[in-house]
Amino acid sequence: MTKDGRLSWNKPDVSLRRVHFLLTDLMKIRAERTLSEAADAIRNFRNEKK
Amino acid sequence: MAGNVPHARVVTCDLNQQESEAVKFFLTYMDDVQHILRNPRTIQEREEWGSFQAFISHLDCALSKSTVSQKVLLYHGISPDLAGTLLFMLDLNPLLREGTVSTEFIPHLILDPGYTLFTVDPGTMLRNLAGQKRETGVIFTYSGGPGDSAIVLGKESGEMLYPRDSAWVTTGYSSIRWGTTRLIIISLEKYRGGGGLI
Repeated sequence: MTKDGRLSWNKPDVSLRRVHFLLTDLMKIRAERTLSEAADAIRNFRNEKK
Repeated sequence: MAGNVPHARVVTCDLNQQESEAVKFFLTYMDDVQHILRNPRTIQEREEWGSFQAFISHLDCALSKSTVSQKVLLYHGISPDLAGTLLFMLDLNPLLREGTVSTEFIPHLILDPGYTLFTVDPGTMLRNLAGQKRETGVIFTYSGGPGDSAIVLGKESGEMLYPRDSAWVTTGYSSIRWGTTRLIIISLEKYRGGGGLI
């Protein structure tokens, strides 16, 4: 398996389960911050490529 | 590019010889080890099962002695042929407006009997996507930090190994444009059984 392959989940690797709780406000805030930072990192990578 | 990856700072207490050997063994036979953990029946009835369990025990001990000392943003991918199905199964809108974040969805657990391997280098995921001719790509992101158990698998690769049998909960997603690809980023947290119960 390639490096990229082992960094990715394939269908048989994982199982999904719907959870019976709502995200707390704190979890939502953390998610927004994490997603914003990830988007910035990806944009920066795009700029590096140019 | 990997050489430019900011190294995640992980404090590792002294590993004994068996734990160090277990990490080396995992590096060499990672694919096989992950396959067995995800499909234990393949060797459960065989003589090697005892040795495999001992090896896993040493690797788990090594992980328990290594903790992340500072915040680090990590990435994980999903195989391209699974991306579309996954968005549907996770109840995520693949047409979410670009540049927006949504946390209004039903969270799901992602359960992996194997060890979870992340990278600190988003470029690893993006280069993989660049080779595909798909309209939508999916990347997971997790904000690792102090207290997490993890082992750095080679400073150059930027790969970090997290414990096996982890449950990850989806906490939000966003959509951005990556070249001609719409990229859906899904944030994860380790599931600790918390959250506001419905």
